[in-house]
Amino acid sequence: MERPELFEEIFGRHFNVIYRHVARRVGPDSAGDIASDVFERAFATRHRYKTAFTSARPWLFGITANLLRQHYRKHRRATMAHWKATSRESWKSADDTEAADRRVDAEAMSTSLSNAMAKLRKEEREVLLLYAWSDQSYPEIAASLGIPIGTVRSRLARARARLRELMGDDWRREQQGTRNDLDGPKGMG
Amino acid sequence: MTELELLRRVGAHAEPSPEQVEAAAATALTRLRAAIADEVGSAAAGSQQPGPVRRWWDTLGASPLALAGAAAFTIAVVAAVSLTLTTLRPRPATAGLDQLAAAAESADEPAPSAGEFVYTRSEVSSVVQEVVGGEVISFLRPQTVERWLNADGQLRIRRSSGAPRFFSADAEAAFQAAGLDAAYAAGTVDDNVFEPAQVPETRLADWSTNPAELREQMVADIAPGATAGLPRPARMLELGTSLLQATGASAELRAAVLRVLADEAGIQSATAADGSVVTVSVAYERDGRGFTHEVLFEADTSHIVQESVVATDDLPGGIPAGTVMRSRVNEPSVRVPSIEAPPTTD
Repeated sequence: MERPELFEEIFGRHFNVIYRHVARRVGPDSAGDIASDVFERAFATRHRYKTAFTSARPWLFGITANLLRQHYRKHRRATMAHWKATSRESWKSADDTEAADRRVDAEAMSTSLSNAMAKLRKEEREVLLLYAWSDQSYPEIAASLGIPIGTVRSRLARARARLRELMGDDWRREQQGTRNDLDGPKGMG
Repeated sequence: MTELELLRRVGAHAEPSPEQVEAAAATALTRLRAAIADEVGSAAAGSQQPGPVRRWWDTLGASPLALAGAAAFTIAVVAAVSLTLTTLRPRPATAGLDQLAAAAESADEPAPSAGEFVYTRSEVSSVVQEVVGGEVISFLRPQTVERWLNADGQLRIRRSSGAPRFFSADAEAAFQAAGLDAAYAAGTVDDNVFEPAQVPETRLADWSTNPAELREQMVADIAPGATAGLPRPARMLELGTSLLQATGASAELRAAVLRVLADEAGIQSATAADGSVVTVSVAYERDGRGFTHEVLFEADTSHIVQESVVATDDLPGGIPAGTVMRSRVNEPSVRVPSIEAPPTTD
């Protein structure tokens, strides 16, 4: 870390995972600049890096979280639009294999999911998305956000429960549909 | 399906394509390299060039503080030098670099006195690539990087972004049609003050000032890292240039680096007809496309006045051959009375 020219090695190891995480959050058009800013800021503040960490990844995710928060403040509408579009598209992609009534439910689910995510407390949403999308462990998330591991666990549990609560009927319908799908082949046999 | 599986399904669908990842990585790496070069290089330039230094363009009448004019003038002189050099046969690297090494060894530049800051200014530019609707659009992003550095090592870096320069009207139109701001980051200013303990150190003491030992260290050093895909001469010039501009690099170390580069096959040097400028360059291929890394030194001080990487082939994203992928033009350093003070014009 004390040799600036070697910072490229940090970049080579971690850029793709950071960029992919940011792209999921805000879309690929904005993700390039944010991910690039992550590494420029990391380089400028590398004296703050705690060498006790065995990997720079949590530190980079911490910087990413800060930059994403700034981005949301400036581009809240655009980010929400990306969320809704992504969520909707993810269900449309299953059109060929899902029944018409399931597609209708899926549309409702996508809207419900993005609305519910928007209503989560930002601290809970942060932990939930780091856990779901960045494949980080509890200790890594704790290091990224500078919070105790116990707090990571409690925020994640609250976020999941709140998500289920906010999605309400849509969630129960989805759960029922999943069970029907699982039962289907047996009944057909 | 649990709520986590639901989220992961959405996340998987939002996964960027390999092409998008590749384009983003290329752009980010270019920006990171520029930041590394700026921070290390200009901080070093500040510490090693504490006062107004006679520059090669001074002899041709350019005002050292007419910044925009100097930059334009530098380009003109570079073009002139390039023309001059075309009339010369590139000599083995030894001649010009040995001359620079001797200049480095005899350098005698006092540190700034108490209360003084050395102010340096560089005009940098790098290619940025944005993915718009699945298409890669490239443009040049100019920045002005200013530094204030005192003898204690306190450092202020201010980076101001200028208007992007697109390679074609079509590219700019496509950028705007996608709803993106054609001004990009123009007008943004990133201003940071680093206290002495925070100023990046490069562990320069670890590098030998014996050229033979230093060569071994440099060869070992270039093996890993993001430049590992480049031919050895290109990597040696990258590392050598970085060391030459590192904060606090001693005259002995700078001379040793120049002697190592002088012996490196594949690195060329040429001296302008009037002897004021030495150009050190290496041509190389990356992913089947050609590039030239060129570093211009002031002959009598061995200081780097300009560095550039030029594409010699057309590149994806509408980048034509001849594009300067990365450049830095260093202005002469001046002393100012405080970290807040802008330089005064004479």
